[in-house]
Amino acid sequence: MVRLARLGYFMGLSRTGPPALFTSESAVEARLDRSEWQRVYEECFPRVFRALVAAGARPDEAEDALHDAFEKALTRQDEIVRPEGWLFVVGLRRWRSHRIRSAIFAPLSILQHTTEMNGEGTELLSEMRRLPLRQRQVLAARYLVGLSQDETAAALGIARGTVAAHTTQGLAKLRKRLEVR
Amino acid sequence: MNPYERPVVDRLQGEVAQIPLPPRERWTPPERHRSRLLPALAATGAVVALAVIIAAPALERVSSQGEGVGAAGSSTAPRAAALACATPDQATSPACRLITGRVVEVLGPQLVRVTPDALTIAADFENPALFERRASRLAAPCRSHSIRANRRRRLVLTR
Repeated sequence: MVRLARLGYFMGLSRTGPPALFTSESAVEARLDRSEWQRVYEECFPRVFRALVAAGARPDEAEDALHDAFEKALTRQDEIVRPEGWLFVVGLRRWRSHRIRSAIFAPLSILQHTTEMNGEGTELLSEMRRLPLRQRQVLAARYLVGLSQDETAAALGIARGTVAAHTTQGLAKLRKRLEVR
Repeated sequence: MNPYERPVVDRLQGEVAQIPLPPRERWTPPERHRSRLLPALAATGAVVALAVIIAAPALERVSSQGEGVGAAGSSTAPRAAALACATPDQATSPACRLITGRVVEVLGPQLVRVTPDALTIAADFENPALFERRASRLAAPCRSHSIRANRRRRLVLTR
C-alpha cells in the first residue's frame, strides 16, 4: 500500500516524487562513482534520448531534459539501480514541465510546435507521435527503454493493467495504421 | 509479446534507431584539462620555498658574522640582547652585563678590539683573551692578537 502510494506519487505533471522502483535508499555506499556514471551516460544517452523523441519531445527538448535528468542523478544520495528507467522518467517529467512552462510563458511557441516533429522521422514513428501521450510514454518505456510492465507502471505511476492495456492499444493502432497504408 | 506485435515493435525500434543523436561533443563533453601553468607555478613555488628553508639559516649566520655580533651559535637571543643593549641607557637591563676591558686595537671608527679585564667572564667565548666590539653593539670573540692601542674603556658586553 505504501509502495502504491509512493508509486502513485510521481509522474504527475505537478508531482515530483522519486521513481522508487529504480532507487534503493539503503545502498548509499553503492552509489555510482564518476567513471561509472560516464559509462552509464555513454550507454543510456542514445537509448533514452531516442525514447524521449519517440514519446513526442523535439530533439532539443529531449537533449535538455536528459541533461537535466543526468544532472539530477549525479546529486542523488541513494542508489539508482536502473539508470535508464530513472533517466527516462525524470527526463520525461522535465520535458513535460518544460513544455507546460513554454506554453504558459510563450503562447506563440505552442502554436509553432504543436505537432512536434510532424514531417520528420519515418513512417511508424510519425504514426506513433499521433498516439495519445500516455500510450506513447508506455510504448517508449516498454520497447525503446526496455522496461518491464512493472517498471513502466512504477515509472509512470499507473497500474500494471493500465500499462498492459495501453501497450496493446498502442501497438494495435500502429499495426492497423501500417496495414491501412 | 504476441506474434502480431513483434513486427510492429521491431520496425518501431528500427526507425527509432535512425533518430539522429545530438553532436557527440554536446552529449559527451570532453574531459576538462587542467592548465599546465598551475603545476609549473606549484613546482616553482616549492623550489623557492625549499631554497629559502635551506638558505635562511646560512644567510642568517653570514649576516651575524658580518656584523661581528655574538659568539658561535648565535641566534635570536643574542640579537634581542643586542637590541636591548644598544645604548648605555639600556645597559641596565638584565640581558646586559657591564664589564670593563682594555682596548688593544682600533679597527675602524666604530670597531675596536678589546681584552676583558675579567677573564672568567670571557671564558664562555671562543677566544677569552680578545674581543671585537662594534659601537653600541655586541662584543664578539676575536682571533687576531695584534695590538695597536692600549687604552681602557668601558664597554657593554652581552651574550
